[in-house]
Amino acid sequence: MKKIILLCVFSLLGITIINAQTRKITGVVTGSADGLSMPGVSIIVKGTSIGTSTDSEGKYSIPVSSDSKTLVFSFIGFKTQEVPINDQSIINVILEVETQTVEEIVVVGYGTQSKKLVSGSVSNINGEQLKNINPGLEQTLQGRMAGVQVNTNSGTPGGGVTMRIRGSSSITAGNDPLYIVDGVPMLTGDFSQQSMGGQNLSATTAINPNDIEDIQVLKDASYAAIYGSRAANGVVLITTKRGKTGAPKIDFTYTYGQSRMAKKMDLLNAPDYINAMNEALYNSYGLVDYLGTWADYNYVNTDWQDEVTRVAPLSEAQVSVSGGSQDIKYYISTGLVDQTGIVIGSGYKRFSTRVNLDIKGTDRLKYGTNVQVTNEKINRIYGDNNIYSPLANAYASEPIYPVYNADGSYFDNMSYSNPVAMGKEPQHLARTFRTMGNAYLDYELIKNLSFKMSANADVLDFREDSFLPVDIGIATGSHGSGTAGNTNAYRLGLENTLTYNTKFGDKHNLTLLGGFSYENNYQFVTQVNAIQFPGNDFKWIASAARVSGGTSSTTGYKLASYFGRVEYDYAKKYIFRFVLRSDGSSRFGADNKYAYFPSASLAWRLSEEDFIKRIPVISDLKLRLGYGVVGNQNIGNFNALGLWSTGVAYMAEGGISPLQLKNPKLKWEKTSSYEVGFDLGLLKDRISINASLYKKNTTNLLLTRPIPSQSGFTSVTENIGESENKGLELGLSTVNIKTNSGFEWSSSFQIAFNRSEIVKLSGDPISTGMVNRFEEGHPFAAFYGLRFLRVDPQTGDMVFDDVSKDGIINDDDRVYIGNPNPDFEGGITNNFSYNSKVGNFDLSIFFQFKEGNDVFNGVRQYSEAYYWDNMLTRVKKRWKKPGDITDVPKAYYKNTDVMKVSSYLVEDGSYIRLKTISMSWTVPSKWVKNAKISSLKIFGTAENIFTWTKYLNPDPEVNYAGTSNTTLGTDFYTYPNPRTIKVGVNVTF
Amino acid sequence: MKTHKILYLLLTGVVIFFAGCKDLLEVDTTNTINTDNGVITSIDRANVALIGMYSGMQNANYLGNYSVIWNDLAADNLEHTGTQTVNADIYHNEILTSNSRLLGIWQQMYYVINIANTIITDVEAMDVDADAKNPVLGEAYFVRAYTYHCLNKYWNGVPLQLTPVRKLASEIKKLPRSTKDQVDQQIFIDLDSAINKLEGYAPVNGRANAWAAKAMQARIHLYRGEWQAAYDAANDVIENGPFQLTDKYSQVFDYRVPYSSESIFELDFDDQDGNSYAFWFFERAFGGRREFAPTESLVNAYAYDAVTNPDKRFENNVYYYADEDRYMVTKYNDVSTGSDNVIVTRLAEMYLIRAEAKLNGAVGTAVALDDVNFIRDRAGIDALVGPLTLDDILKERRLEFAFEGLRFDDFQRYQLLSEKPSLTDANQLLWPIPQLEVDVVGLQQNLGY
Repeated sequence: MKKIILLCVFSLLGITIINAQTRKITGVVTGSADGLSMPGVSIIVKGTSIGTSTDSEGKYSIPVSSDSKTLVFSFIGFKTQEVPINDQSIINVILEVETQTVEEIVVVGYGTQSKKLVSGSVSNINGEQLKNINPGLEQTLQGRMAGVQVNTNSGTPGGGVTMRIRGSSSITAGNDPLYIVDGVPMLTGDFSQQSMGGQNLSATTAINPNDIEDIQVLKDASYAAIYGSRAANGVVLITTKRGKTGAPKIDFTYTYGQSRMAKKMDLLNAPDYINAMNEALYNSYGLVDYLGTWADYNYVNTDWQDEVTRVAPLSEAQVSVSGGSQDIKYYISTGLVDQTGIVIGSGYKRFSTRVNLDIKGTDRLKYGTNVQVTNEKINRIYGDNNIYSPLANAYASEPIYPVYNADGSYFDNMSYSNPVAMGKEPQHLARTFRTMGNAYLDYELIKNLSFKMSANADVLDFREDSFLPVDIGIATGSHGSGTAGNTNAYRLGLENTLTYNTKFGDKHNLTLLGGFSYENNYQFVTQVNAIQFPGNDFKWIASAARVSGGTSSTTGYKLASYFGRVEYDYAKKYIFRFVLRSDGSSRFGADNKYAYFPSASLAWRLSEEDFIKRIPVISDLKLRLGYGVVGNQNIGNFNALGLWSTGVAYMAEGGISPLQLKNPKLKWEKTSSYEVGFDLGLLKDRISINASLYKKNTTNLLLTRPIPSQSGFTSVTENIGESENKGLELGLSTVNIKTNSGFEWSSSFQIAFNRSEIVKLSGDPISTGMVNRFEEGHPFAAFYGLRFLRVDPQTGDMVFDDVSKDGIINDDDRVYIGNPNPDFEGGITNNFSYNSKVGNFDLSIFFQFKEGNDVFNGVRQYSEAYYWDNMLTRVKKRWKKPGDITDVPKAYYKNTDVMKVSSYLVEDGSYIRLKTISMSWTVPSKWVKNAKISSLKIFGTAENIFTWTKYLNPDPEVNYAGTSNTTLGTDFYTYPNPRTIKVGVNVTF
Repeated sequence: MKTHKILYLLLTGVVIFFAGCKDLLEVDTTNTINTDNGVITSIDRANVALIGMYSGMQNANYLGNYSVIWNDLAADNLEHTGTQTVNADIYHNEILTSNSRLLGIWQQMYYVINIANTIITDVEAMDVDADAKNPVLGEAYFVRAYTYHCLNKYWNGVPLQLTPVRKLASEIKKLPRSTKDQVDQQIFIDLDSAINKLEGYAPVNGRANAWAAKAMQARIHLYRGEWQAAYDAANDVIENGPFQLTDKYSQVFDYRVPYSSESIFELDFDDQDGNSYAFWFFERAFGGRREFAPTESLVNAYAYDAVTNPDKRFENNVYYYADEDRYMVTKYNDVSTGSDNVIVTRLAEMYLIRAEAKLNGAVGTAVALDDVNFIRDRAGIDALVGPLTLDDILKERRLEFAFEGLRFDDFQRYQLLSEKPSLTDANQLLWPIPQLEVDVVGLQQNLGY
């Protein structure tokens, strides 16, 4: 092929010498994807200013002189094509869609960079992959980026999701990454003042994934350091969609779906339950048939799980209009999500609108705005660790009792409150009204030097209204109770940057950035509580007879930062990058007001070297090396100050009393990270591989240290602890098959290995949750308890390992019995697409997996203890007579051995999940052209389809403590992730 | 170019704005006071700090519960009938040095002492009228003295911290334990100061007063066997104080009508700011938890009989719950909001102190037997005919002050090991220094632990 081209070029040269006249070349340009003609494609004669563009039918005509050799065809979103003219007079061109790996631009914080030149670990995901996955943002990242570890702790609508980038390093200061949306640092976390027993809310649900153009995750410190004291847990950069020059494009999507329990808890039916309880009561107390027979319960066999769960509909609609002229570009959208929870009483709604504007004032001045307004309404229910939870009570309640009495009232004479009543009667409404966005101005002061100013705001008004019924559940003593709470959180910021781009010599490229930013965070919290309600129909505090409590308070912090960055490359071959940020925070102690975060990285693009260029199979090869220091400033707003608190009272007078001592040395937690990696593209990037090896050392972990109590104070918080994370990440993406007939099969595979270790604590190990423990030399939040050996075949009793050899089983016998951190995790995606005459077909199959993580199944502490709770069917295998070999002990009433924290309850939580299958059919545009529709797509998506796991409960990927920092891998009556099937239609005008 | 100028102006404005902001990183702490700005900077502030000090005494680890209940529990008045092992250990007189509530009591008492120290130091240094300073100082001196007394009786010699701690490191000295005598001497100095500052001011409900300081002198002298001093102080309160015994024993403890005529100092609780005495004592059927119940030994000691020995104190303090055939404590009765006040000292104690001092040889005109019978008469039971013995007085104290946190004091000063089977060693009459304080400060542990 190459030879032929060369031959052509030579022959062309020959011809041009002879004939130097002007002539005309004509042709048609079509797109490779649909074979349709492409209007507006620009064509120039290479090396000249002669140019034209295709007409509405894709046709063009261009005059060329005899010495013109090449025509250049270009169009946004398509590969630019250079075609030798030779002696042709008709040149028809098929433009190919620009594939992702070519000259991608990534957002890296206060600027962008060509992906080819990235010298650190920046993962990205394209907006296309986020489509129709609502409402959560983090879920979409699960398994898609190596080293970005996402755990959906429950299926609770609107519930918080745990996201960790390269493991957890902090014990007390949080491990959540920093989220930046279009340059605006986003408020994250849970603003609720109410504990719902486990699952919390997350402020990141406010982002509408349909508006997202792409997401970059800065994983290593060399890139994250530009965000300084907030970057220790990685940075998630979200870029929303923007308008492009062209006629208005209207895009409408509607989706409808249903969710249901993916797997039920395997519980006993009524006769088996009676049988097991009777046996337990006989074994413990010699009581014969204590519960009687099934007939005594009128053959009631209530499946409480069925009673509290449902097939839950969900619908989503999204409309956007985008487009623009040379001067004004716009993207305007509105999205609506209405999701019903699979457990009665739970649900989530979101209404959001977005306006993104980019305006060109003069040749030098650009300004614009990005604004999102969101309204969320969440119906919450008590969950997990709460005895008034509909689902937990459904798992635990006796199947022998009916839901309702004969008169239609709730049956409530059982061990726990009636699960159906707990789902239907209480009310917990959480509403968020939020505006976030910025206004920016970009001005080119002199050539290559531009000044950018951005005023940022994230304004969040969260309110919650709760009512607990008068006649059932927790608040019967006070005849109902109600709470109204408001949390107003504001983050206002101003950012100023100067960027200078230059090129000197032929091959030296230099970009300098300097900036200053200031941010003010403040928060107001108010709450009022009331009791004595007239009845369950009156749910607002205005109806209550007695206001029982109330509070209001405020808090906040400020951050003033300076930062600079040097990016240099020599011929795009040797890349050097240096970043320095200085953060001053009101949170830091007086002696440590300013923190400095330097980072540096180097990359060598071997593929630009001649000796590699000679290897045709290698299309891209880059070696990377990086080091950086980043911080975690989540150390509390006022922990460094000496404070006396108010709000203490005596004889109805308000007083003051000491709260904490001044702690002038208090500072941020510090993470130093090293990384080395490579990016490799083979066969014109049809295969791309990237790998990173990293090590993060975190020091100055915030822990409390006791001080002499005779001082009147008991402890002080200091930067004492140390932890370490190290790991390996691999990503592979391939285009397996690509035929001229329009069929393409591509795959991507991501896998990450992370090992965490607690290096230093202030003293004794720290225990958290039910089973987690932090101890020097052990992994983060490892499981600690008794080691279960076997069920004694002679007695049917559980035998534990007497580690201390003192003849008794007690706390001294505890050992490490599990690890909630996986050995590795990742995902596999296979995409198939086929462009045919009857439209484009796309199929995407996504598996996500986690291996080697343990789960502490806290449910079994009760569901196998014969303590009135209903039981897992595995108790049918229980020991009954001497000689029985089984791993289920003899039935005892309230079996305290089962309830002990032991390895008996630790299960392998590894799983591989068929997470998503999505299919779509894009109708051939000629079929819908008459309806002025430019594109019509019909699609279907199934989520959480099947999970291969040994884990007993419905879902291995849950955690009863929600997004807790330190309580990990524990299932305690947790709301499982549902299975969802959706269909929808997408129309573009 | 116009926009050019506007931009340069803007840029300059931004620079000036930030350069001019000295308080760039200052945040208003609103509902707290930043100690950098000073805390007790005026008499008004000292007064609200006093409120904070009393509020500290209300804490469950101090007079709000455990330092009182544990006294009777460690002795023979209360039995542990609940679930919490921290309480069970006290009842069985086998206290682990790691008992978390024991540490809580120690910490809370020093927390209150630090507030008193801060008030004393800052107000003494203030240049204001004596009339403004004295009541504040007097109350702070009293509370410091009383709190050291509580520490001293349970632990027998504790570190004497007398200056406020305001900074990390510099002022946190690892003070060793002073001797019991040294602590008592400091207590007497503080009580004298309290009397000196408070004398002439009429007692205010719920607040320390000069008579309370005198009553405390009487108690501590008695505990030290300084009979004459005990006699004189108690006699002063009885003869010259504005207090008199109530007609009915139950009137002293009526949460609906607090501050009886015989109350010298009681700590206030109200429905917004309650304690959980009644909650811990009451049967579940009455909305309580029955963590503690009266011992059989106490019930027997009352030897109640509606006809022959109708002891009003039994009727008030103990209730027979027929459904379960057992007794419960009813000295504190507001189970719904916990507004029962807690009595620190009352006139009846002064009579029994005077009687005991006299019996032990103090000189004075009071007749010990009359004092005891005065108390018995109010209780509605027959007078003793004498001759009066120490046992008579100790028994009267037990019945009169049951569940008021004084019984273990008598165990300590008379080594009443034989009264309770689980007490086999005099070392059990002192509590162990919390392990954390041994570890952090290096305090010497009490014998037997």
